[in-house]
Amino acid sequence: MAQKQQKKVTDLPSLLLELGKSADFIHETMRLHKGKIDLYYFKTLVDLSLMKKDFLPNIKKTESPSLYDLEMTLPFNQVEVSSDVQLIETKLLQGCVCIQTHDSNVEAIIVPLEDDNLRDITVPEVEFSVIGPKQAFIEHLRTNIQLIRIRLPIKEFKVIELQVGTLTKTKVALLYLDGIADMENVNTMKQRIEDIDFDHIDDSSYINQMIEDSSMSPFPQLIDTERPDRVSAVLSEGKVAVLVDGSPTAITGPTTFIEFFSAFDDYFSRWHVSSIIRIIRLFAVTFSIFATAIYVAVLTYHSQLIPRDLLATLIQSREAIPFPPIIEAVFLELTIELLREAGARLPTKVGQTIGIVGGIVIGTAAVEAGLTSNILLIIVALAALASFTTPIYRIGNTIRLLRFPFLFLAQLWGLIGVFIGFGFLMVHLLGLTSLGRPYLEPIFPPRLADFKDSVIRLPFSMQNKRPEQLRTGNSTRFNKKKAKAHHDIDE
Amino acid sequence: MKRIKVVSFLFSMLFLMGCVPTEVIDELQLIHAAGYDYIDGEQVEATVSVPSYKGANQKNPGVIESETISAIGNTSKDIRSQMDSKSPKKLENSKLASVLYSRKLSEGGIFELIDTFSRDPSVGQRMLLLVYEGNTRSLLESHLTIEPEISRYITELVEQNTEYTDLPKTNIHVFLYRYHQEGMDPFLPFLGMSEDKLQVKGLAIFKGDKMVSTISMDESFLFKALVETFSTGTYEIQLDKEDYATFMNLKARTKYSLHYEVGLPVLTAKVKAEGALSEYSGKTLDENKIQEFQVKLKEELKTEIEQLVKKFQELDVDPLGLGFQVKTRTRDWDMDRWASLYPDLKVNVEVETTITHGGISE
Amino acid sequence: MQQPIPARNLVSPVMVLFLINAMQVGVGVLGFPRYVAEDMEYDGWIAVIVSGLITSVMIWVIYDILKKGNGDIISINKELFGKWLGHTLSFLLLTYLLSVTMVVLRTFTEVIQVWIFPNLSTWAITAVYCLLAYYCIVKGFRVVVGVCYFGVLLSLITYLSLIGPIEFMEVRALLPVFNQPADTYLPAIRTMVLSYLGIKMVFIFYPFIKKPETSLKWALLGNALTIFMYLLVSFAAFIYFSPNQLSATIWPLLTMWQIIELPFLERFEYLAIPIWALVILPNICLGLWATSRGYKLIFSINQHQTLIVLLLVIFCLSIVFNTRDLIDRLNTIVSEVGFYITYVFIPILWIVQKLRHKGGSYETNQSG
Repeated sequence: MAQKQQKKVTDLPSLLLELGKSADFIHETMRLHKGKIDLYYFKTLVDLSLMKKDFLPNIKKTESPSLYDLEMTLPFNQVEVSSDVQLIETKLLQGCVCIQTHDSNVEAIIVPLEDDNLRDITVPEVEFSVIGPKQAFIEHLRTNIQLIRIRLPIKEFKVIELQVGTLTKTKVALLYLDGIADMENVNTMKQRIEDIDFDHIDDSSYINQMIEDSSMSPFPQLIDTERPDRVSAVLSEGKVAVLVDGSPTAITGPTTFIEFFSAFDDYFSRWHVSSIIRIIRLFAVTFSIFATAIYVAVLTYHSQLIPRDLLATLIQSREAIPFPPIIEAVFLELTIELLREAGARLPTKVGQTIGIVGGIVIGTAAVEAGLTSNILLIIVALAALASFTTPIYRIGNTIRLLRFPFLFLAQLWGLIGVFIGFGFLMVHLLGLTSLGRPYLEPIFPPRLADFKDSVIRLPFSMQNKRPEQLRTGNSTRFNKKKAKAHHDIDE
Repeated sequence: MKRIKVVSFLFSMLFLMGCVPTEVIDELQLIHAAGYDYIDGEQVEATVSVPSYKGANQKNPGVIESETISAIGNTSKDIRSQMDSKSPKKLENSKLASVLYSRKLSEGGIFELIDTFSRDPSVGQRMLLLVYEGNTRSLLESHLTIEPEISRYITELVEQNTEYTDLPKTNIHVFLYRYHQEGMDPFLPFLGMSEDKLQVKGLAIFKGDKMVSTISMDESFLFKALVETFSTGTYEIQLDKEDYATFMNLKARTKYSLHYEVGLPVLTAKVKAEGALSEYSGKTLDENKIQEFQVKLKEELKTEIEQLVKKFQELDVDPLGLGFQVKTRTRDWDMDRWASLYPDLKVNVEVETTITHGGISE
Repeated sequence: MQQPIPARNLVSPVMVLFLINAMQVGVGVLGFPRYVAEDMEYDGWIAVIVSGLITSVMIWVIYDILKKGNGDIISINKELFGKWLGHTLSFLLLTYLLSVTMVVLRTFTEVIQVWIFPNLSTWAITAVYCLLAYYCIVKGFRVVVGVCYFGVLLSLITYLSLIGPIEFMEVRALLPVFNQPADTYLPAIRTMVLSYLGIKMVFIFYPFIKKPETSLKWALLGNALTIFMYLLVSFAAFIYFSPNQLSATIWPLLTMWQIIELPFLERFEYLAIPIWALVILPNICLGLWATSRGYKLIFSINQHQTLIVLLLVIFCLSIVFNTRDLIDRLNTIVSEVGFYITYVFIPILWIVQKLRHKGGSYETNQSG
């Protein structure tokens, strides 16, 4: 990492002097039996209770105030003696206490006493599931890695620690299973994280957007999840995960487009159920993108297409409306987006009220006032609902955004426009990659074997191979021949 | 950056200049039915029926009624421009479901009128062509009691009769297929009024594009059995005055075969009919009685079919497609020679009947 | 020799199936039954099969040439005919490919104009297709193959759509078979062969296939799929239309679609034509990709800039060809040229290569 410090402090006294300019930096001088020692620390960073309980009594017990004695006696891990000014600076800023004796002003002991100040591990809220584990990541990197390591207690589970952000010095951990993950993926990910040059990293989503293959695309190319179980599952599939300190979401990759529509729940319910639900979800997404556009296209250009029995209903619903279908549709779509945005910005309870007020009151009023037709209202509401079935929050937003270009193309050239738009979408998706792997897999390039866990989910007994997509080091999950014993009827 | 500019320039050009005129459904006058009447040798009167959604709104669908626009002219283009001048909204053919031709007009030939529709891609291939015995304008203008929208009424009437009774499948495609096929003549459903109700009265038989005769609904059953396989026929049979029965769900199909007798083709039509006896006037229906009906049915069908074929031969029309049957069994078929042979063609009719059961009570 | 294509840009041999099929099935399938029936009436399906088999042989010949030459057509031409003549031949072949693209695009534009939007200007449709093709081609060959793949999948709706007209089909109309005099066979086969012409594209994309020698079976399978589709469509058209009716129908497949009525969709062709807009996309993308790549190799120029120039050329030409008559003439000329390229040029190339190689090996034997 490029260190862009304005002033490089080279010796310890001037470092301490520099740090002392900050009000929360404490310099204490303690008298011991023989001689004195100086303590330096940030009172806002160290755990003061721990300091009172364990640290200070032990210091007072020490016979001689020599650095090496102190290092031996203090009952803490990672107590070290150092003369490296850089290191001391970093450690102090991470919440260590620095002890200096009067025999040397070059060396100091660093005692880690940082205050962890953890939030409890809570139930996942974005990716909630009825059955299955109820743990979500928190903002503490060590705890997050711990959550995964509990699930993967094997030596192959490897963590690479990196640091990004010139100001935030955010710790980033790259997780993978040695021997299973393709090292090319690991190296790509590592390279891309190392290449990040940005001052302020707040959340994993910053990193997510910076390491994606194409930042011009509206589609996310890496999945972010708050579920440790999902992360450990994808790790054992052969993927790579990234955890960021201070962020309760992990990034995993490489991914495919279809994977964005598989909820982790799908593995908890029976395979028939989850296969059908996945198909319904994909159908919902297609509906969500195209429904309003097709409505506009058909009503504006293709009266031939409408079944005779539906025709009267459609014409009557539009009879009193002064606008062309496109205006109607854009108006309603924007209303729905407003409702969603307002609901997202407000506290949960108020948000619900907004939904009810907006959905029912505005909808009914718009229809009664003759501004929109009730059929379109149904379609738009269903389309909005359908877009919320996406298990990954990010892709849901993309789907909703995609509707608008299709709407305009429908107005321009009817169904031809919609399909030309679909052509652009298709070409765009075909060109996308996730960590250099094709995004549309297993649809294109067609890999039949990978369909077992994409559009549908086949039973675990058939998931004996890891996805071909990932080019894993060891593609076998279990030996199918061994697992499957043949029995004749009633034997 | 330059590329983005070029692309966005192209897109904005498309949006500005690539537009096509919109045809929003509520701004169109969708024609649901059309009728053509004979005026004189040159001119025809066309009447179109369009639905009107008066007083309808989203809460209250209201009643859809039909209105008509008429025009007289030589060519369909001429007629169309006159109609456009009478309509407040743009007239559109895309929902045209049925076209009626008056009997008089049909007898003079209607191919040109039909051809206009077959060239118009917005007209579907399932559009019904019908012959009406009277004036189509007064039919389209009339308000029938059951269904206020006349075109819907006509369409449903014909569809119902095709599906459940004795009317053969028909639409513009079938007409054109038969018109263009060698050894086949077209037919169209023939409608008429009985008291105040519209009724399917049978079939209008065409020679080329000119109507020459009609056959009744009873004959239409035989006709249907000879040209297509179907399973919903009904047929009534009478043993003597009081003793009659109705066959329901009569399945019928015909197999043709060809052989030569002294150099002349002889066509054999083997009709297989299979049905259930559903209505019987007498008291008991035993094996013997059923047997009796079966024999009677066989005889009756045979004579009636022979009569029908004879009738067509006398008129020199071939709506049954006997010529087509011969053609597909002959190498190097010659249409002109066939035309001279047809009136005297020998047609053997063989009927095979099966009665499956006699209703639900013994 | 040119530089080898980097491994990550190669596609698997299976993809050849889609490339071949996508190139053959295009606007042609909408209209071909009429042309076959004109020559051979309802025995036309025989011509469909025979010309399909002839095409299979041609595919084998093309593969043989490429296997020996081990490269694309440009390097083979250069090797066999010398730099100037070879490049001229390659240039003409590429220009032909470009004009095929042009014909496809222009014909489909006409379908849209006749069927859906009579007022839609030609330049607008062309411009959109050019943008789409540009977007596709700049992303590389893999994306072009992807477009072919989806094009083939979408074209499969044809099979489903043929169920619709069954209700009105008269199977007897095909009888009696082999009723046509023998001298009608040749013209019919000649007509029909034109519907299979897409195979020349193999000359350009051959080096982009992983283990290209193994892809011959996939190419033949792709061709077989085309034969099957043509056969079904021609059967359907023959038994759905009566002969005189068919000769008056410009696009039999579209007219057959007109009869399909689904509960939620009264007129199928208004959905099918927009879908077809994506089925012909591979024709255009692959054509332009092949041409721009070929020109790049001949003139050693940048493919990206070549592509832009070609798009402009297509755009301008499609405006010039604005009448039905001109389009038909263009169509005939291009088909004619295509016929000679496939059935005269390629065999000659094959023989010349055979002779050269024999001669070559003879010489080495002598010297050794």
